[in-house]
This record gives sequence, C-alpha cells and structure tokens, in this order.
Amino acid sequence: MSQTMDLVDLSDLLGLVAGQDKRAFKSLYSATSAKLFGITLRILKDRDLASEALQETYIKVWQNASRYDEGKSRPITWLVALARNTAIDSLRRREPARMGGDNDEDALERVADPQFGRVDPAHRQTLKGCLEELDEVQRRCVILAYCEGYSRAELGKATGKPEATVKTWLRRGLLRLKSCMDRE
Amino acid sequence: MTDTFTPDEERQTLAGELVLGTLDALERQRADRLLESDPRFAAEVESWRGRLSPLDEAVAPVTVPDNVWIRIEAGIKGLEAQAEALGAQAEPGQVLLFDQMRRRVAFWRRSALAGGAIAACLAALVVSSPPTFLLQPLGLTPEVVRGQQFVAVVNRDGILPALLVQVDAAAGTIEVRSVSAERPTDKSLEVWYLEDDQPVPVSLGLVDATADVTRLASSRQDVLKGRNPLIAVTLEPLGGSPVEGPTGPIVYSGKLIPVE
Repeated sequence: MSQTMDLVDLSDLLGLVAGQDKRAFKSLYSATSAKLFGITLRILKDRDLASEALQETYIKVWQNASRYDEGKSRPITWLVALARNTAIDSLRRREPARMGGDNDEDALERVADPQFGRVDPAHRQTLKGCLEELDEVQRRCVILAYCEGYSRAELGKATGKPEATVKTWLRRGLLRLKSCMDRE
Repeated sequence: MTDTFTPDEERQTLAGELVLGTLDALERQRADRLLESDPRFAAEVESWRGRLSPLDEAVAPVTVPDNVWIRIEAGIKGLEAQAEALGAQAEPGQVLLFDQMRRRVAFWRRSALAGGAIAACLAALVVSSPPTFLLQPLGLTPEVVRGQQFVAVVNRDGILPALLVQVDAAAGTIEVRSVSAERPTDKSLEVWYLEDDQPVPVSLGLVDATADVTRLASSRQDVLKGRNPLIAVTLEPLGGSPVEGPTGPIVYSGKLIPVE
C-alpha cells in the first residue's frame, strides 16, 4: 500500500481525474481506497456504513477533483479530508451518542509509530510533543474528535461535562496546539 | 478559564473545529461559506488539516470490498448520463413554466434514461424498496417488484449539488441526499411531484441546506394516484417558490423508477 502510494503521483492523477479521466480515477482509487477505508472505518466502526461513506467519498472526488489545488494541500490530505467529512456527516445522521473513549490514547501513541512514511518525521514529532503539552482532557477531546469523529455532545457524555465546556476545551486546546506548533 | 476569544482566535478555532468535525450545523454552514469566499480562512483550514495529518498515519489500510468500486463506477455512469440529458435540456438560470416542464418530462420519458439500464446503474447507490402507493400507479404489485427500489440521481456539472432521491417504503418518506459538498446558500431547492394529467406540480417541500439528508413526507392524498410518477427539483428563492408551482430552473427531474 505505502509502496503504491510512492509509485504514483497522486497530484497528477487528481489533475487527470479533474478532466474526467476514468483510468486515472481507477488508479487513484487503487492507490488510496484502502487507506481511506481505514479512515472511514475508524470513524464509523461498521463495514457497511464505512463502505457507503467510501463510495460517497469517491463520487465526490470524481465531481470535485478540479477543486484540488496542488499548491495548497497535499493530495492525500485533501482526500482524507473528504473521507473524514463524509464519514462524520454519516455518523451525525445516526448518532445515538457513543459512550467511552477507550482507545484515544492508543491513537496518540501511534502518532510516533508511523506505518506510512509520508509525513515529515519532524512534523509528526512536533504534533506529538504539542499534544502532550495540552491538558489531558483537551488532548482527549481533540483526538477523539479528529480520529473517531466524536461530536461535542458525545465528548460531553464521555467526559461528564456540558457541551459548552467541551466547546471551550476544544477551542482552548486548538489554540494552544497552534501556538505550540507554530513555535516549533 | 475565560470564554472570550479575539476575532482572530474565533477564526482560528472555527477553522480548527471545521477540520475536527465538531461544529454545530449553524457554525458549519458559516464555516463552509467562509471556506468558499475567504481565501485566508481557506488557508487556515488547510493549515489545520496539515497540522493534524500525522493522526491519519496511525490508520492502517483495510482491504475494500469489491462491490464498492462497482457501485462507484455505476454511480458515475449514472451521473454522466443524467448530466448529459439535463445539459441538453436545461440551462442554469432559465425560468421554466409548467408547460416547459411537462415537455421536458416528455423528453425524459422518451429518453433511454427512463429505461432499465440507468436504473440498474443507480440501483447500486441506494437501498430501499418502493411503497405500495408508488407501485400501484405503475400498474405493479408488491409481489412483482419485491426487492426492487426507487431511485433518482442528479448532477449539475459541479455548479449545483448532486442529489440522490430515494424512496423508503417503511418510513413512507422521500429522502433527498446531497452527495456533493456544495449547496446553494442564497437559494432553496424545492422538490416537486408530477404525474400524468396533473394540472400543477405538487410541492413536497424544500431540501434542507444545512443537512445532508432531507426527509419529506410522501403520504399526501393529492399525489401518487396517477401514472408516470416523477420527481423534479427546482432552484427557487430562499424559502421556496412564491407561487403555486415552480418558478426556477429544473436542476433535476427523474422518473421514479422501480429497479430490478
């Protein structure tokens, strides 16, 4: 998988897909779908729902590839953003709020243990270091929201605090994270 | 800890929470608008995506079921075919009178799009079965169509949202789902029902611009009686058509098709 990622230039493929090139679209799908399926599955926790979200994601890719701007974001980041948005929207449509937050620390640990060598290791270390600087509750909220798609209401349930408090934690946490990462 | 943020912090956290996915519907709408109209905000959103992207690395790839690609391909074929037909028939911004709409409907009925091929393509996109009240006008019985589905889909070249319209038998609702990320914010999308010998299209309601899925009641007495039931979606002023019947361009129309 990671080899495939390295072999093809995703930016070039997205450019071709913007011109409605179906072969390029298939190549893009082959190179990225397993990763994006992992992303939608992490959020939705259900293979059928995650498959549906994946399908919707690639239809959006087909329709919106011309909006991808190489100068502004890495292609995989753009694709992941589409997949996460789609999966989170799907989650919000159902959302009997989940309890818990069992494997959030796990996600943080794995920040330092990449299976894909695509992100600059220094950047990874910076994020890890800055997440560790946050209050624990802020860190948990940021990670559960990003990785597992938790809403404010769900975070409130998981932490036993009102949504308004969660909102403040998230915002304070994000600002601290930004100022820490910009400093590094 | 105080709750006050400077305007710059407000922007930053709005961008950050957009990426996290924790905004409520109203905030999300505001953020989506800014994303389209404000390059600085868009750049901030990109920065957030970049900052948090190492968290995606922990995700291991998972083998995708084969049928996902088949469905994507089918969906795209359906979108292309419908966009072609609509492109030949409707221009954005064009005001349609009911007579024109009826002619367009006639075109749809003649065209191959109303046939089984496209329906088969689209079947992959939805999972629902048609309620009896929709089957009767088609001269079908539930036995004949068991396992079949009603579906419609539309794309407007990325200018307007792609929509999937599906009929849910159990819930008795018409579900309109936005597939594309974009939605018009200064207009409303209104859903209409048409059938043969009906004087004026019946409004089923507005597509909720803040939600991905809008559920509309379909159990009205004045619809689903005649032959050739059809759904059309028009672009209307905010809040819907000011008159009885549509005033805006059709951005979508499709026969309610029972799918094999």
